[in-house]
Amino acid sequence: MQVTSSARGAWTILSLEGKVDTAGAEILKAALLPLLSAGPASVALDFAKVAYITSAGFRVLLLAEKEQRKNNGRLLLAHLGPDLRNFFEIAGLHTVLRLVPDLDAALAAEC
Amino acid sequence: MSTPASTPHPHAPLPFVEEILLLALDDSTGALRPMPVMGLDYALAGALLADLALANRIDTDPEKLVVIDRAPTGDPLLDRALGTIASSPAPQSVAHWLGVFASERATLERAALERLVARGILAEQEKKFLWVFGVRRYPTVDNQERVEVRTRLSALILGDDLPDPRDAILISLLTASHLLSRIFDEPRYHARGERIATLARMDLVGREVAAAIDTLARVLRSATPVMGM
Repeated sequence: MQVTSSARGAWTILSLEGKVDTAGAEILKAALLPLLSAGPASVALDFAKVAYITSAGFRVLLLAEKEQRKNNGRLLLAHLGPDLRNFFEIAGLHTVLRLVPDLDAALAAEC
Repeated sequence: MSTPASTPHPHAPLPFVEEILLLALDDSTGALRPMPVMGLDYALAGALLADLALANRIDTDPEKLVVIDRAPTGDPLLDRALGTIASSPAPQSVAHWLGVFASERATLERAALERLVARGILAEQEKKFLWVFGVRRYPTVDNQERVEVRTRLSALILGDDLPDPRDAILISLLTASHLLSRIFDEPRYHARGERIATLARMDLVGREVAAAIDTLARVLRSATPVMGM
């Protein structure tokens, strides 16, 4: 999996491309957790180019959400396809993670 | 509602297979707590898969379980299971492997008990029943582990914190095997049913364990003749 980082105002946007499987989860963890544990950060994950996630990926997202809550940060997950969103819903993670359909609209509303 | 501060793991946690068995034993009698038919079988099988997952040897999605690293973990119980999974010609579902390892309950249970005794957490005791039959019990010697895990899980259930992945797995397995409601059998926990259900859904292996136990219970109910008809 590839992670591309960009900035928009106070937000860091991590655009993900590929599979968030065990290997992908490790890459995501290395990119995401330092941002969230450094202090109150605002991070958006763009899932537009992700079609597959495994339990290892969910574990990293759970850790990341826990970390941002501890540090009063913000974490958004955007552009999840229907299959991916369905998997999040089965796990009940749509109730603990902030999933947004449109990143631009979500960021505009947050600023 | 006030949120109790989450309690971190104070030391290296027990493997799930040992943790589940420890929590399945009644503190005072050392006997297994009541569980649904094959509840412990599937819970230990789920614990074995969870141990392999957190050792980064397997990964799961809703359709299949895959081996991602065949390197031995150094734990004979895990390595035997890893070898079994890796020898499968094609990836199988989590439910398939739960069935396989649930049939090895006696081996898993025996190994976990031996390890808990070796750690000084349990003692092994042989008692005579009707002066003839030997009944083995495992009274607690050191209750620190149980107390710590219960304190942590209690704070999670009663609060609003997110679990770390390990506690999400533990709550999921304990809920699936109906152990959680026996360990936390007080009104303040009963009132948190929705919260417990949310936490229990977070782990895929735990959800599959729950599905297997519930399916078996339904089959048994439908196969039991109704008395008095």
